[in-house]
Amino acid sequence: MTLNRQSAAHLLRRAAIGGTTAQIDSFVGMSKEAAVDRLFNTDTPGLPGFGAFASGDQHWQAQLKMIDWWVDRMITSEPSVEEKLTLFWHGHFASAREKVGDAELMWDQHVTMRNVGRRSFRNLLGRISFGSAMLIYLDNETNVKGAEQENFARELMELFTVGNGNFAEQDVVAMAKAWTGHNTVGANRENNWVYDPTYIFRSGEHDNSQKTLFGITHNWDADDTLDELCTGSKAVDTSRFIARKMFQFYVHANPSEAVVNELATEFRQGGLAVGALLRSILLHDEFWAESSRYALVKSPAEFMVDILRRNGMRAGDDSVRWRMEGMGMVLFDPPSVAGWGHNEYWLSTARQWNKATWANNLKGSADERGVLQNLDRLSTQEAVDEILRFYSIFDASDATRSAMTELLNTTKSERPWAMRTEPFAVGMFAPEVQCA
Amino acid sequence: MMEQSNETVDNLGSAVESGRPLNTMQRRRFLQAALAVGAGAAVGPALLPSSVQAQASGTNTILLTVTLEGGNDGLNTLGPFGSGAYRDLRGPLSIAEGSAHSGPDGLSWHPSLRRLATRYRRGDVAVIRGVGDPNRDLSHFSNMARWQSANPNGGISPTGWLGRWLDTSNTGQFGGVSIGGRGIPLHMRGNQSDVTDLPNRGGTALYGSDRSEARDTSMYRAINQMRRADRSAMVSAVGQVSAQSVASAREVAGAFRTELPDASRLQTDMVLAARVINLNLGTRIVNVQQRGYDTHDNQIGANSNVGEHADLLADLDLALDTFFSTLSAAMAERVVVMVYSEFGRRAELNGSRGTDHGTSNHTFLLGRRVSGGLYGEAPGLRNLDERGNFAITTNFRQVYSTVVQDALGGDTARVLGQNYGTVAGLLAAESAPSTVADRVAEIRGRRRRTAEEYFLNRAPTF
Repeated sequence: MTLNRQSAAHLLRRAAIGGTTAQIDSFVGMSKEAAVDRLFNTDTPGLPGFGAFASGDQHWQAQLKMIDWWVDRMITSEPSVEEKLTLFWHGHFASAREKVGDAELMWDQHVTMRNVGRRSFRNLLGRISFGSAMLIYLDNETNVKGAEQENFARELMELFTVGNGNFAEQDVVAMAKAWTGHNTVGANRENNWVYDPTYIFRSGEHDNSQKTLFGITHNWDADDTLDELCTGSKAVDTSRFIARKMFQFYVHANPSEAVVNELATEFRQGGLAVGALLRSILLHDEFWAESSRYALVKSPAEFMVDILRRNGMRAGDDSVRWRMEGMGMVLFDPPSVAGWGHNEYWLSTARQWNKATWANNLKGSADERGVLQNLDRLSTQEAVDEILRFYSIFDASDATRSAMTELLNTTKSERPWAMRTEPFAVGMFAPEVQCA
Repeated sequence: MMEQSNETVDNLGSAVESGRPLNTMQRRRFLQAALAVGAGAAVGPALLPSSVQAQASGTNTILLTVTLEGGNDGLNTLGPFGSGAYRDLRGPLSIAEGSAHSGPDGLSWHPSLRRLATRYRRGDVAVIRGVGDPNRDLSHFSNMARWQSANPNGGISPTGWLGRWLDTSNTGQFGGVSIGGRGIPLHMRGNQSDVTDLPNRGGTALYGSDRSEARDTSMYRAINQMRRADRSAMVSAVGQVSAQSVASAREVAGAFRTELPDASRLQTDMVLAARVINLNLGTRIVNVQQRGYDTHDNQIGANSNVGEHADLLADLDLALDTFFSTLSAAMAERVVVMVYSEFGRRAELNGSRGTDHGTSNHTFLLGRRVSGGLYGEAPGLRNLDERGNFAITTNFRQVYSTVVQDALGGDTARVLGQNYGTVAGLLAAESAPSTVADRVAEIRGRRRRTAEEYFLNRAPTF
């Protein structure tokens, strides 16, 4: 099977953050394998240091710059798996700048997600867990022997690895003890009480007793617990949890147990290499099934990037952060450690009003951008095709086409001057454009 | 402009000053006076479709759920701050009894809750103690999902208890309203009912509310047609919620006619909640969220009047007051507020000046239809489970059962799967929807309109 426009558009919507029609066309005629490999092998630009965003102690200001940078990177980089996968990890290992405080720590975490995100899951899990952003976000910075606190210990199992139902309360107790002493330097008198977020192991604050974790009694330490979760007695649970979540993010919401098990087994056999798991998912029959097309709702980040790119716009041309907040998503500030939801989570009147207001604003300057400006010369059917081509929708519902047809006919006959604005806007309202 | 109740606790009359609760007769008299004032005010009924009018009339109870996310520390919210057992558990996290507000039965209210304490003394606050889920775990997400879905088998369902109540109650287009633009919370999700999600930022000029230009109404029509887009289930869901947003914009836009206050997010949301109720659109269920209760560290500051938890409760205290003072006098008589959280916190403090996840907690009900006082059995500070958590003495489903049966009206078994009994005396009998107007509303409401009928009837200009 080789890719046609419809399947190439589907691949880019899912594996990447979409693409222009020209980019999609460059994948047409390739085999599935070659197209997926190309998305893995595309060179991505290097990353700046945090200095590019630093704003003194105004960390929210630095966050704004990081958001703009990230959005622009998603808009401008050649389609590759890196951008979508980074969004996935940001939602999975959710940490929020609002609590972490220091934007530089969020930047370090982000760089880790990009650099390690498609390599070993065990490696990524370790880098994130010992990273200062997570130590602060889930409070392990103050987890010490004799006065344990469970925030990180619980979420490590519930949200990052095995999932709820695959650990007991006793495991939370043992896990919290195993992670005692893995703190941040913090504030002390010698350093004039300036807070230092660097990771530190305080052996005196670490619990060296025998602890029973997953039924195994041992002097557990933090790194051992990650091994146990990834490659020890919990390997099956972890591999299933990650495989299921990734399948749901990339394909559709309801994978069968058989599919999850098949992917999880492969994931374990491949040494938890995330890239290999992702490749298997993207080449899975269900990924290419007709029923998977438009089976997901675009997150606000995907929707905004897609629209800005088609208009030749950049983050700085619009108040991206505020618009995204109205739609329910602020990058680097997920609502909780569980990250954002999916699909129906993005659907409510409030979110639609905000998308609609944006469409209404953008249509006013469509002529300045030269977008969909010559439709009055075309027949109505050609004009509908032109709108759908602009949005790279090559398999729209009949209802979408007929709504556009009627709108164009009415506009052309009653308000020809509005042919410079309305065709652009009706495309943004099309449900297919808001889905992936 | 609608008459406001202006009912902050600082404006309360002599009954409160003397600590005497208003008796039932005083309340009823106030209710009648308020209804007389409220009649004919607000939105002109002729502007509204008949299904909306039907729900808008009458004295049906309106439920506001205040969802405290993260697990509120109930023990430090209302606790026995003077007891030795308490101080043993909480050490440096203990609330100084001297700065707390005295409450019932040897309990005191957190220093931040001055207004709530005053409301309690007035008889408008019920505290149900030891509320929780017998099938609990200690996860935020699964506990909140279990509280919100209230699935009788103890698991998690895709619909929530109030969503199912809306499904079976013919409330019409605006029966359920979620405030804050954070999506529809699980407890309001049903199989058929559309819940309106009101934004509090990111542009509150609701698209669809301006019907003055033909160019716009053509677009609204196209959006409504794309509701039928069927390329996938998700395409269809997007099309429907877009059409819903346009169809409902004009009515709810009234909530934004006056600028929103420059206040905390919760207080802003509470103002919006009161305003949308005042619009009299037949709204029966409203939800507001407050985040940030997961106080694993630095729960308390230099003393018990300051710190993370003190700030959260102060915000809540003022927001509840703001809500009641923004409500019209008539609506203030009809509203029941339920304040709940997914769990309470661990009895003993942790090593980070905070508390870990716990089990049972207080649930609060507020409003004039509530018979104030203490309900449920206190869990006891020494009666802890193997994780050091408090006992659960009331299944949260029993509280829901009471709210459905004695406040909202409806078939408890259909909403909750079975009948869990009620907390006796919690809600005043006068709340039972038994007026002629309510019965008419119920009959008319059965003719629930489809989204299409509604949309086309609403907008003759299309």
